[in-house]
Amino acid sequence: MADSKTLEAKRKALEKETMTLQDIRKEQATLIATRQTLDSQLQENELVEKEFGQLKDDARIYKMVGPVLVPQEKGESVANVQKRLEYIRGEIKRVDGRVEKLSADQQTLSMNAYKLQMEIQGMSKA
Amino acid sequence: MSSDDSGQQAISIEDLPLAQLQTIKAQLEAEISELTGAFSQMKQAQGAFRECKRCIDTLAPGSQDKTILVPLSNSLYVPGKISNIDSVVVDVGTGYFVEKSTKDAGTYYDHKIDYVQDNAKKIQETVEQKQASYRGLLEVMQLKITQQQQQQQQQAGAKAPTAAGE
Repeated sequence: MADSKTLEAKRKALEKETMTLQDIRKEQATLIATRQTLDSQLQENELVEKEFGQLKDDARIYKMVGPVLVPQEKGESVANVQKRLEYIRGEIKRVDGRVEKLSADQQTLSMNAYKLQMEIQGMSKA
Repeated sequence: MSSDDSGQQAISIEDLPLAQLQTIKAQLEAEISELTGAFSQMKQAQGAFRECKRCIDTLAPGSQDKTILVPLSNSLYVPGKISNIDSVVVDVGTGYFVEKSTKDAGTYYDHKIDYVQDNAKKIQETVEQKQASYRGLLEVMQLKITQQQQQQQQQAGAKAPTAAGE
């Protein structure tokens, strides 16, 4: 009797582990997509920063706001792009950290799930 | 779990089981198709920049005050006159536009074309590498499959008498 109870408990635990694993995989997939968008944004902003670096101080810069081009100060534009770059780099770091954490979690979880599976197999045979 | 297996050169692919080879094969296929997509995107971008460059070239001296049709939508045009052939406004990305002399704009697009060309070349090289390893992988898999089949046949031949003996 005690055996069947623990077996049931182990099955439940295994189910839970598998669910968490699935959740982790889903989150990882979205994170990777986010990471890719961030990467392309970073690249585009870097190119703009480079382009601004090559401009003369009195160059005429416009910013697209809806359907119109609004004239901008060069200093302001440069500062704005740098701020964006800073933000994007920060976000990339954050996403990378989260991905790493998730991979670690995934590894321990799949180890646990494997162990549980083995135990269940052993018990159902006995 | 899905770490970059293709990058691990230390382990020979001949030592891996067939199932694992299959995963690597799927990975390689995904990588190759993604890279090929990126390559054609690069080519498209390059085409767009070339087109811009060509447009600047048509603003040659002498086109001042010429009449043109300005597209308001895909099918609606209004007549206009070129009033300034010395400077253009260039989209530098992320919503920013910069006013440049036609000459500067030309060099800007030349740089862009070169930049994209470099990237496209890099992608192409990677695609070629991946394709080479893909072919290698297929060969090894083929070899493994034939070996396995042979083994199975031998086993089937060896097992039959014992089964009969029991």
